[in-house]
Amino acid sequence: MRRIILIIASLIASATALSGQRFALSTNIPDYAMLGTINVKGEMAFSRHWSVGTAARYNPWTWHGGDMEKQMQNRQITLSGSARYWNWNTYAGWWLEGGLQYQQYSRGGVVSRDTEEGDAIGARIGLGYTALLSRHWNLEMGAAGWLGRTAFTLYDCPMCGQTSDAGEKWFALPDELLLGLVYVF
Amino acid sequence: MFFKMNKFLILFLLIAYSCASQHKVRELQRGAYEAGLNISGSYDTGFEEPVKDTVLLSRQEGDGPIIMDAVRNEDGEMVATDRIQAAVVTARFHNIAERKGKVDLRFEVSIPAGMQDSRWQLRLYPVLTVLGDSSHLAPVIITGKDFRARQLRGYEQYRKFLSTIITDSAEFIRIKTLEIFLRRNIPQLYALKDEQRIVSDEEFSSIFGVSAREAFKHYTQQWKIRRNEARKSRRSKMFGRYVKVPIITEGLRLDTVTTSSNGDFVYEYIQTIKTASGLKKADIALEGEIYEDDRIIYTIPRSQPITFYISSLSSFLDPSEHYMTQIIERRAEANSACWIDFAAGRHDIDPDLSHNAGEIGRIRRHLTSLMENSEYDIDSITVLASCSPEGLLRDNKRLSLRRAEAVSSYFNSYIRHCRDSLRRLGGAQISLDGGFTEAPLDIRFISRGNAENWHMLGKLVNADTLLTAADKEAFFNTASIADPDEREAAISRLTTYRHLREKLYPRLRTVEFSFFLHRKGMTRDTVHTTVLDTAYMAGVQALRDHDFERAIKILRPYADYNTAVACCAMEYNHSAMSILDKLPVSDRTEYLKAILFSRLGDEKSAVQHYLRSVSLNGSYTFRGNLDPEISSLIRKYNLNR
Repeated sequence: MRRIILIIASLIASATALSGQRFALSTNIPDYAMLGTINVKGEMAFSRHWSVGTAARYNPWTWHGGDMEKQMQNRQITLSGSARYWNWNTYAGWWLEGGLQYQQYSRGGVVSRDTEEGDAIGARIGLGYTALLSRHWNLEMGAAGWLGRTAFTLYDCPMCGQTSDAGEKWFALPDELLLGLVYVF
Repeated sequence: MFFKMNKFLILFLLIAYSCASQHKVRELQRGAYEAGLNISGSYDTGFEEPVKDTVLLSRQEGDGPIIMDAVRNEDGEMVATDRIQAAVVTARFHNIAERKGKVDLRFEVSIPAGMQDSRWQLRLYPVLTVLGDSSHLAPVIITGKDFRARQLRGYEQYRKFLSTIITDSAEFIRIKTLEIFLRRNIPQLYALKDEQRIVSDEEFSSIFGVSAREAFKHYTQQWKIRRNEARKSRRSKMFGRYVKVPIITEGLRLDTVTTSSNGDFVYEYIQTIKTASGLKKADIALEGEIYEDDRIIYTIPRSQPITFYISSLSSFLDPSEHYMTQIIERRAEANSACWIDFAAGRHDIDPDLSHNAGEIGRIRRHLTSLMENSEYDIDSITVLASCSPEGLLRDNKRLSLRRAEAVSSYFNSYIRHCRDSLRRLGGAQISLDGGFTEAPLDIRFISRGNAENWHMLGKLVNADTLLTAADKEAFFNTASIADPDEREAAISRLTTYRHLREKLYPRLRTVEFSFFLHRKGMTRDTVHTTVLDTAYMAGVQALRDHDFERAIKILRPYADYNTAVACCAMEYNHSAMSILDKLPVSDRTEYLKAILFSRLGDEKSAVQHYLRSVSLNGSYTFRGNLDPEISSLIRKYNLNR
């Protein structure tokens, strides 16, 4: 936990220190709706069409509302690094993203009682459009998905110990629906 | 169930509606209704009752087989039927008078109610046929209410289309986004946004090399521009699509929207045309079209024409030829002076004395030339002899007269001698019509004596170059003396006397000849030549061509009958009257005067002159009906009994 916060803090700090190089910081709002995933992303534009970024997501919450039967969770720690190609200019207009992502997850109880836990690593692609709101603020809209390999364990219910499956498998999943607020320095 | 019934009803109504309009068109094609063309009821025709030829067609009485229509009756028999039709033909002709070079054609266009419909637009064209040329006059348009509503709807739709065309080019740029972009990426340019400056690409671009121009181009919505241009190019096509029948605003006489087609529509149409030579009648017929939407559903065939017979005052002109009048003076004068010297105190002519021979010869030659002159004859010759101041005045008087007489008789005998020889050479002149009389043999010589020619002496002294100013002054001092003899004595005492006597005095003894001539064969003072006065004839031709302005311009200086006719036609009443007053009375002048008095409001004189012209020439009763000034009088006072 402390380690995660340190990473995020250092990203923010480095961003403010080097603002002349066109840095941006953003957070994705729908992620908060996904059972409260805190996320932050830092980006740096280094040419007209290209920018690189790192993002981190953290969800420690388990939701049960007092009722153990209705427990659901989307616990994860996700780290990713990606590069974006901007069609017109960085931080404005259409973009295409590609990157790498690593996730430690434990999710379940939302759709069914099956809970999956594991480590996943994969390649991520995304497509979206950024609208300019003002001098410093952008609105980012898009979608991203990733595919890769995960070492997983499948449980029958969120708080069970009984495994129904375990092993390694390939996966291809939608990752994020983007509607992010971006602050451009 | 209820809705089904309604649908059926609606369908039924639609069919009935379209059937009704079809029915109406069929009726038109059958000829049930006809657009009427009539003489205006209110127009002054000059007769008490309106002129209407009524013709009643009825079955002829008489022998012989009669062929009739037959129909089958209820029993199946063929039975003769007879349909008596009273056809009323309204007047198809009208007399109108031309005034001031123009004539008003007035007629009524009447449209029966059966021809009108709120969905239709009627366009009626009067067709004017004049001198073989037909032309359409300005149309009368009757628009139905629904038709007009549809037109206006079309205009509204077109207006809406036009409003979608963007005229402000700033609307093609996403200005807000562009501004944010510039503020973020090219802040140094954004800082200048309130200034007006030409910026270069190198100076103002972002850190990654994006120039302001590129940003501008990126944020311009090209698709919007293209769409706008496409709309602009489609304008006329869209106009044609929305507005099928444009509302005509120019070149028409009337466009009225009828609110109800209950009654007949009557329009009084007045067309003014300029007259020309040979324009005796004009025909007006009516034709047109009925429009529904943009289709012509019925073409109104050309109606029977109305004929207007045009009477003009130019028929009064006098076409006789005019010749140039040249004023040739009958009499002429020729003067000559000669210096014939006489011995002092003597009055006989001595040809050998000083220059006499030459002078006499000169006079002789002059006389001969005058007598041989074919143009002139000599009436008389006045001989004026003067003396120099020497001697007493009364002696000089007698002497000068005697000298004049001597000269007269001398040359008289010479002339007679000349005449005889001329006659012998040239033969006698006889004229066939007796208009030429030979000049009398004797030429009158009138002798006069101008005793002492002081006047000429003064002139000579003045002009003399040898005398000094003082001498001249001395001389003129003596001139103040009243008595000539005393004066002469004073002069003889002058120092310059010798010069005066020797040089100037001889020049005072002159004989002046004045020849009074007249042209041979002229008994009157002016002569009419046989040269045609082309200017006058051009004026008369202008009258004939109804170009009255020009006619007046040309004929005005002549101030004769044709000028009066032209003034009358152009309504210059007082000028015409003043000319006619000077002319001798004739039927034409009396008639023209009647017209003028009628125009000036003096009805009594007008009637008097009209009756006088009729008494001189009975056919003017018919002419009187053609001119409105006279016809109103005829009607009022019942003159053509």
